[in-house]
Amino acid sequence: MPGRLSFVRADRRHVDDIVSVARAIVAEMGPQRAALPESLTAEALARRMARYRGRGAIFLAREGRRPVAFAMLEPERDDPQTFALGVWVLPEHRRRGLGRELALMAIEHARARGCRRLRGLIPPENEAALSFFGDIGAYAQAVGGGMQYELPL
Amino acid sequence: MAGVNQRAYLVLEDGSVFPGRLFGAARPIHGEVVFSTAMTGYQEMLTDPSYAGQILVLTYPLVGNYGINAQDVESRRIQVQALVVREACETPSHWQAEMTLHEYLASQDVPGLQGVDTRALTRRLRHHGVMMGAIAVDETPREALERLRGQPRYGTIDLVRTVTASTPYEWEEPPRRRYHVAVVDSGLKYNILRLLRERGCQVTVLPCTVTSDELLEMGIDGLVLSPGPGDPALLDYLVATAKALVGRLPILGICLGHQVVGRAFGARTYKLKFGHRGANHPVKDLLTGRVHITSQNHGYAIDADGLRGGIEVSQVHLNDGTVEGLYHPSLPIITIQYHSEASPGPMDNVYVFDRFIEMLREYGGSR
Repeated sequence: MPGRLSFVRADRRHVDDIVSVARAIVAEMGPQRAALPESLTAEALARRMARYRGRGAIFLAREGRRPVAFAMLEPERDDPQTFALGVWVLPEHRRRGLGRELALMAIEHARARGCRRLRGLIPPENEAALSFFGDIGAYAQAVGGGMQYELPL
Repeated sequence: MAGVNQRAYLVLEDGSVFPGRLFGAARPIHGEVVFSTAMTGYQEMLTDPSYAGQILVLTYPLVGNYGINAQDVESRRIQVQALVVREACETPSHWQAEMTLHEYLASQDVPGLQGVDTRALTRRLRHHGVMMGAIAVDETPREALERLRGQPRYGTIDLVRTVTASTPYEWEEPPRRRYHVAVVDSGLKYNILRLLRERGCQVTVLPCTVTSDELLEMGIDGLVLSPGPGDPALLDYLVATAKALVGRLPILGICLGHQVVGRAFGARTYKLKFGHRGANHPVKDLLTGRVHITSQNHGYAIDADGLRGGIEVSQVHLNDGTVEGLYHPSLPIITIQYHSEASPGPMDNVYVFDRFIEMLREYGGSR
């Protein structure tokens, strides 16, 4: 019987959970299509989270105790009103609304910190990502060799 | 293998990508992407030849809810390249409905895309202007964009020749024949013929390549230059026909026919940023001061500055001031940029056909 779904804003205690989801997704679709580093470690992720200083955030979804999805929200260096958002969901948990729920948490967090728009790259050949961002209202555009999305807040 | 409900994309030439799901036929296509704000009348719009070469986006969020019937067609086939909607209804309800929108599109191999954020798409087209687009099926948006860039642009093709009647034909005889009218088919809608017939006109429909001499030899009482698709600047042959008949026959020009008459009187035409497509466009009659709510479907307009030969602007669009009608104080010519035949849209403007009949009577006398 599946456990209860829960969503949290992640902190250092959750880095292993996040890394486990990231590695599973990289194994499924490869680092390029997943838009994740091939060898993400808990230490590297913890250092990354430390740099957020309360502006960026990672949100984690769990079913029971098992981590199943996460969203990463990071402010852009050059533009304090623009944040990058990425969402990753384990294959067997897709089409359940987890990504949308995580994106809504990230959007609320970003808005509260003066964010005016979310932006990010959509990996080539990742049609699920393109559909996901289209479905949450983002505007997608083919730029150069890839795709990017923008979601005004 | 492509199929219904498969994920597909509308890709605009600026790289914008709008995801959706296929319905109708599952095949890639390209065309100029335009939007219509009409809330009903999708069957009339689909079969309106003025939409030839275009991918039609409907802003109304639910389309297909009253199905498809045999009565509401405006030409012999679906004319749009593809249809893009927010939601295509799968369970229509109407006593005349014979099939669903999906079945209709599929029966004529025309693709549809639903689930599209048509508000965002329309805002993009309004802001940046109409542009070419492609429906991507079994290909990435990037591949569709590359394919699109290899296609001819909408304004470079004489689309009138693709939709015109291949041979002359007679419309159904009126119960009491008063006049014989020729309609030059540049992409006409059947309701023009229906409304002429209701007013006692025997109607002969002719291909767009008919010459002025051929028309005069027919002994007709008047001429209608029909609506149609594409850039009027490509239609020198139609302009020459109209020019040769000015003052020799009563002429009614509708939409593209209005632009052809404008060109015959020296005006140039230009492309509108996103065109007028919908069923509630306000037009002011400068002679009466009255405002008409009109049905419109055009992407080009007349520049009044070039008009010569005594023809005058009779009507203007209240949203952007563009020319919506012409009349000549001493010659039997009236033109309108909008669709007096409606289908879809308000029937408020069928008076234009009554005026044309008056012109026939004054010019040639009733038979």
